[in-house]
Amino acid sequence: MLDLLGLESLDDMLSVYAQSMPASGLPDFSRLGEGCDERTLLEWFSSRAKRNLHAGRAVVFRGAGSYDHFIPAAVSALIGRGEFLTSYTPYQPEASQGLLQAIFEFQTAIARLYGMDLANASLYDGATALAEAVLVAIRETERTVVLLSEGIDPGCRAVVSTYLEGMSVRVRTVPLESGRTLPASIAENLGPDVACFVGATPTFLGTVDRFDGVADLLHGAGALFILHANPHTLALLRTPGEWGADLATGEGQPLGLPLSSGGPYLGLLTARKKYVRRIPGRLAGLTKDREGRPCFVLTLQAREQHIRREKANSNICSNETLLALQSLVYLALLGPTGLRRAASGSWSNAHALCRGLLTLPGVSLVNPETDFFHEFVVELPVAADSLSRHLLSKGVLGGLPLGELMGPSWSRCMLWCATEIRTESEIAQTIGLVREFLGF
Amino acid sequence: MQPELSKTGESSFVRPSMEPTLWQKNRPGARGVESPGVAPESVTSQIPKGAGREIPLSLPELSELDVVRHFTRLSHLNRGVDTHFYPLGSCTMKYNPKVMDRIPEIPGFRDLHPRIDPDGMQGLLEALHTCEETLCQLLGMEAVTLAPAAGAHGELTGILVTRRYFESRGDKNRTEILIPDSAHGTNPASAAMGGFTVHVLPSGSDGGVDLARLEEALSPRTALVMMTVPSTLGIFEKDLPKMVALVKASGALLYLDGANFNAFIGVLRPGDLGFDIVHINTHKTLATPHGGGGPGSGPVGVKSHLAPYLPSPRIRKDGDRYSLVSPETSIGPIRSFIGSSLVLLRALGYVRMLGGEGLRKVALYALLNANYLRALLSGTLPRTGKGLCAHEFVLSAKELSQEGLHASDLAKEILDAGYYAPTISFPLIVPEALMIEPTETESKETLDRFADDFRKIIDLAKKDPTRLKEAPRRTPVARPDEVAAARDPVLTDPASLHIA
Amino acid sequence: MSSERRYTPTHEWIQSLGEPSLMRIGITDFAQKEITDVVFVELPKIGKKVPQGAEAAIIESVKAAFSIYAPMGGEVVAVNSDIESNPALVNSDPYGAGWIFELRVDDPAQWNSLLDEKGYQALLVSGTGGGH
Repeated sequence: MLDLLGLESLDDMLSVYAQSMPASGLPDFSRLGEGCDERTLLEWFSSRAKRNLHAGRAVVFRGAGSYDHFIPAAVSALIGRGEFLTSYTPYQPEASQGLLQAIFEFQTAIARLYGMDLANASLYDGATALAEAVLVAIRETERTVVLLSEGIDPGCRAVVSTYLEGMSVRVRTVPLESGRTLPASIAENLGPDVACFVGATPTFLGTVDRFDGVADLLHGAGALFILHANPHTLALLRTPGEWGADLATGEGQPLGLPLSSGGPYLGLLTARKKYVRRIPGRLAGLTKDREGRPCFVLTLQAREQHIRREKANSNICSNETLLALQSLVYLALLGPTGLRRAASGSWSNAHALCRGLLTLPGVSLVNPETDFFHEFVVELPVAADSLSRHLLSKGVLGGLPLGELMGPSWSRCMLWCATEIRTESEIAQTIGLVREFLGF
Repeated sequence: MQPELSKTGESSFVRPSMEPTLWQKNRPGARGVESPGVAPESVTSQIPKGAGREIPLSLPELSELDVVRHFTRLSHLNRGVDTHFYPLGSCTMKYNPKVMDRIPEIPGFRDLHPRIDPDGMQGLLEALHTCEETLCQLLGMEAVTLAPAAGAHGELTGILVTRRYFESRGDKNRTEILIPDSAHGTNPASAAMGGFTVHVLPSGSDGGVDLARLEEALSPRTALVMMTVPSTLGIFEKDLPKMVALVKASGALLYLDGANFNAFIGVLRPGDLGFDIVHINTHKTLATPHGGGGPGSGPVGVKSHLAPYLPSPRIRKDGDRYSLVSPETSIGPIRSFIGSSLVLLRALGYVRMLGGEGLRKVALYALLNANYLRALLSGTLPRTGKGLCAHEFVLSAKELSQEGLHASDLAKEILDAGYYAPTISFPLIVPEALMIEPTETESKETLDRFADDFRKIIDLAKKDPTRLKEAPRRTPVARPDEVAAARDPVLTDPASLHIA
Repeated sequence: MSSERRYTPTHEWIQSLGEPSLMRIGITDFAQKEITDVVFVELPKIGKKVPQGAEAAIIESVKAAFSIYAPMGGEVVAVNSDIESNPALVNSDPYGAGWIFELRVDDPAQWNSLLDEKGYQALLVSGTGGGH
């Protein structure tokens, strides 16, 4: 090979860099070590992993954006196939029909789950999906005020603010009353400069919010209605489509993705058909080939950065395709019956946990007037973070102490979650540990 | 256009090589995997009136075996690096050691809750902090954020950091970002999302940035100059040190799009070259397979003057203890939680397994393979650039347009020859571009065979161009009607509307 | 319509609709061939004010997007909604059913800055027209 290029050694290739060589010469990379074999490598990672209290070592009663659900074994077996895992974005449809069809099926499953007309091929995570949906509303309406419900995860709201950093757009928060959004609170903030209102279902605090009349209210004011929804709960709850949302987003992690130390996760974005050319991200579409055979292609690409550059709908290129496939396999394996069963299990376990905790003196439910799904907030007679530390030392990842996220007035509040995989004995044991810590 | 797929859920259109959709395969009453849970009836009665789902949940009903066969068959309709040579330029489709797939499977990482108290995630934080330090050394930078989920997300992060930096200095005039016309489309798109005006720098005759044009474009309004090194034409800018000096003198910051990091990993460091900000695509260079378009990650490295503005949360190390902090000066979070941890651990694993010398060889073999293949293909189609290229090269099929052929026709014939196709129609500044990146992991025999086949295809194109118009013949489908797909988009399966 | 058409170097045409301030705009036959199959036209909002030379609409093909610039400044008073549902009209009848939008122009004198038929043909021959 070197002969063909008239070179004598591999190091002669260094001449390619000659013009870019820093005056100080080539840097020294010896600090990166001499390399190692596979066994040594895995040992290094395993020894770090031992210092993590993962779900196998601490029973998870915490959600707040990441949920410990059942994942069938066939999921990882199928998404690990090299034909999917080692392929690129399907720009050559003839060599990528498998993935294109899977993306098309993912779009279908998510659109049907959300009760919306269509979904894209995924975005980075729930928070960035929400930010992108807000950008769609701003572009569509050419307006400069965004209303975010207080029920949206404060972390997601912060991401939206970061995304809007470079724009002259103001974000206003619409407060929750007893865990609910009152249409009157939205109406108070509406004006000719409002691009959209974004609600959450369920809310970050777990309550089942309602949006009766909200779509009409917003459309009457020329604004868009966006809902951020947990897809797991939509097996049972009224969908964004039924509430009249124009766009709906969500975090796809509950659909077959492990907790994953926080990522990679899966951004879901769905929309009404009229916004199809406004939304960001890839789309697979059905068409026919030259012999009339139905097949799939990436479509509406003229929206995207590789064609429209600074005028594109978004800068997104790589998304989370493999994880979209993962959630599709999960949904196919569970089917409608399985998904409803799982969601019902979450509801039922969370309510059992809540009833148990409320039997403890000094423990009260926050927002008792409003139903919750599989998360709820209780107020404790002690600091929530001290209870959290105690539970963790006993092998339980308890509810999330809210002080750090929501401010000092929430320091005795804890956001609990129970999914379908928690057992009666885990729930009973955890209630016992809380009782013991509270000194009863 | 509404293809008559599926009104009844039947699979009449399906040829042996095709696979019906999940909804077409729907078997009412079939059950897949039993999930833990309870019967829905016990819960639906508790859901307040008007808050429950009333529309059908239109997911398919299938057995586990139905599902396994479906996705296995779909996989057979797809090409990946594991099955085919994949010379897709600018995408770095290399083989990644399978041991890297084991790292994200370790339960201590895979099943760790991101909102666990710091005491419960010390191992993760140590590994990610090590990853940050490792990337600092690889890039010659003083701080790294692991937050960005992909390269374009890294660009947006770097651009928002730039905005904050100039704001903190009270400099409100820097509203413009300079970007070469050969750049990836993500650069201008990210600049626009960050609220900047894009100023396009035309390339010189050799495809590199024209120094005189750069000097002319720089002004007190310039916030940032984004460069891709080596350029998307596979060429190291010959005047890079002069460009860096010009940009520095103007007071603007300098950004390196590290999409082509594979060309210089373990050899050069963007920090040493004078760049203030760099992002890399770990899914290109550092051992995460592309997964059909993600997940990836796009860590961003900066010099110390920009470190205060990096996204929150930051990982802090105090002695042996790690914690997450959110500095006041930060631009704020740009995604949920810390980052795409499972992807980043693979990147760290790759660097640890190869070591400094191993990484240097990655770059040198990537260069050797590209130059070897480029030499084998000389005389087929005109190529961009003189002398040696970097890790990829660009050919132009413009001369075939007199035969009525486009680069896309060549791509289809290449598919028939048993490869994935090179990148076509990019970079936009080369007419009828074919961009070829063999990567370091391909053998000499594979490159020889590809070169032979490519030469035959060019001969055929000149002798019998209609044959190429008929390509591909050996794929499950051929030349989908993209115009019809875009005029009347069908984005969900019509069969899903007929099951409840 | 028999009134004279004028052109821009970016391949738009403009023609009066009877009264001097009411103008219809489309793209030339040359432009539709360059664009190839039109798959979508993003029309301006009615009531939008566009200065001369500003982007007023976007035409998409499968692999590209093209800006359509206002040949004269004015207010958009009508758009061709037929091409929303049938974008192929821009290819099949660029000067007729494939028109794009109508303007109430601010300054009829801008007409004089545009190319006449002869000037536009000369531009096509010399190949110096601006890209979209």
